[in-house]
Amino acid sequence: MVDADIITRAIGGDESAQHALYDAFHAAAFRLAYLLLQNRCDAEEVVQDAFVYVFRNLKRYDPRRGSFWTWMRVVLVSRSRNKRRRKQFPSVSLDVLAGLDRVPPDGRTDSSPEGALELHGVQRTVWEALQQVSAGARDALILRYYEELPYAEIGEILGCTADAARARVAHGKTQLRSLLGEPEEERTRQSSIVRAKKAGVG
Amino acid sequence: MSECEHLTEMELSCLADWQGGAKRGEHLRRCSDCRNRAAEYRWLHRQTGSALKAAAETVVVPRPRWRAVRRGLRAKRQRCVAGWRASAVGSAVLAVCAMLYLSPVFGEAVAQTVFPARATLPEPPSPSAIESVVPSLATPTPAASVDGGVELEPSTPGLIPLPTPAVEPET
Repeated sequence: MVDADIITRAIGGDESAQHALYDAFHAAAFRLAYLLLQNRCDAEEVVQDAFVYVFRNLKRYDPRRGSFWTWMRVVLVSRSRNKRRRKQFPSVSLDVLAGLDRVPPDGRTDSSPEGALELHGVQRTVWEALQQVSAGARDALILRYYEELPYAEIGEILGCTADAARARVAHGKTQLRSLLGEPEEERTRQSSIVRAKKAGVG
Repeated sequence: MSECEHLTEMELSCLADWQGGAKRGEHLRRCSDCRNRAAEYRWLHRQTGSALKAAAETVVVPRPRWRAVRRGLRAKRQRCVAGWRASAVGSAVLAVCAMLYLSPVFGEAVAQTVFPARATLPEPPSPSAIESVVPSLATPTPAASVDGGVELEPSTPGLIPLPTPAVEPET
């Protein structure tokens, strides 16, 4: 939560206030962009681009319509979706390339969540399944279960109605269920075949 | 909703979000199959949330790069200012050119400088030369009286009224 005074000063063009806003929201913005894009470089690029856009258009921000993060999130989701659409013509900025060999501040080099999720098997399986869900449904799932937004707000961000947002979430969950359920069903079916064969042999 | 009519995936998904209505809840109480599937969706609901949160928490956030953002901001501002300047200079140059071209003093000189082809246009042919080639075209046909003098009969006829067919009287 940032002070309203900082936002007012940032709207007025105060660079130190803009810097404070950037510091306050950078991590949250990166995490959300990373979940949406599932690519570190893309997420970093989108976050930078979104902040440049937001600071250039700060005069359009109306605190009565929602918090700064609400506005930032709309910009971030929109930019992430655009980035994904442009992904067929991939491009990496020089800034990102220059930062590739940098070691993270806490010294960790494994930045992928899969590595860190090794201890939690179920979470890892769900995370891997999420990557196979269609992009539109995944966006809705992330906004619903990570950001914990109501359907009306998800609809506003994704540019659809609340009912359509609900349908996207449901569609995403159905995809997830089939992705997670099929291997288990397959295992059960195979083990029952093996049991039947053994019984037949015995 | 009859007892054997099972809930759809969409309805089960909504029930997992604790949205679905009393009717579906009533069906769930009676139908163990749907109850099991609804429980699966609830499990999925919880696991999706926790997997996403864990993924977001475990990803290493890169160091904030405020300088890059500031550079991006300044570059965009400079591009904007450069655009305005270019359009202003272009407009000024166009205005000066138009003024020079239209002014009686410089107009001719500018026109000759800017459009040299116009200055070397050949002289129009004299009427006698035209007459020698096409005599009928060379003689101008007076269209109306000039200076209030004698009205000249036009050599080319104007509109010729078409003969109207005779109307037969009705009987």
